[in-house]
Amino acid sequence: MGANIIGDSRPSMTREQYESYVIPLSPSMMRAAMRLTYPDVALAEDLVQTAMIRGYQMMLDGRFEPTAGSLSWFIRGITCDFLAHRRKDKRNDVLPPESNVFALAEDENTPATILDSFTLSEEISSALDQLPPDQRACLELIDLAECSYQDAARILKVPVGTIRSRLSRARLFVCGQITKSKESK
Amino acid sequence: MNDPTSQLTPCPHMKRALESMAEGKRGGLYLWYARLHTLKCNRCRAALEALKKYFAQVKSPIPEGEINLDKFREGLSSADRER
Repeated sequence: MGANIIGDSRPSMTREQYESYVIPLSPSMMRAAMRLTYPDVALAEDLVQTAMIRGYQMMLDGRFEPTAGSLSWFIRGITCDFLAHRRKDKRNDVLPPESNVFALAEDENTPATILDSFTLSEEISSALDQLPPDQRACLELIDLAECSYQDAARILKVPVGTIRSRLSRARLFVCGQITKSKESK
Repeated sequence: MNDPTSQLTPCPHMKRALESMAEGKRGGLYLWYARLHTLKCNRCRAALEALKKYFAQVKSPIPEGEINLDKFREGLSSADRER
């Protein structure tokens, strides 16, 4: 997962170094965020901005050292924030006000189709929350951020075969949760 | 952390083939055998259907998004000021 959390209190990078480190990671983070929030693009960007700024604040505090494996750390933060956002919306019992669900529905899809895909995303992200960290990181990197198996292996510092088997277990678990959730409705 | 009772339980030797089939790959003797197997095996067929639904969600095309770099830099400046 990358040893990102450290105890040293000195920042490991300057602001300029952090910018040039994290900006190239932002397209992968956006892909992962869009998978969770689509069609709400603004929410996806907010989640990514929050994760990147939080990384900077923690780096300044000496609690985070950006490494090659930090992409999965950022994506984990994005999915946790997304789940917190959804839980908050559920408490308010409304769809996110910034959601473009209804605007898009007018374009080409029926509201039912859009809402169904929105719900499925929620089920997937809730199932992600229950996965063991090693399986979750594989699924987030490959299925959400669209990294290759080789890149995921490099980021997580495990062999490609381990990535494949963890991913397989993670997908089956998530599918099982989705099936269970659909059956209980 | 994983609840084993909530997991789909395809035959162990079929897991990779089911993922390949769900992703839409078709060629090869292995997948030909896997297709025959899923006709007879309820557990594998259930797993295949669930994987297909999963891939339809996570592999569906979504537009590329990008972050506003000015907003990001404002956030960094704000974090600097707070220290």
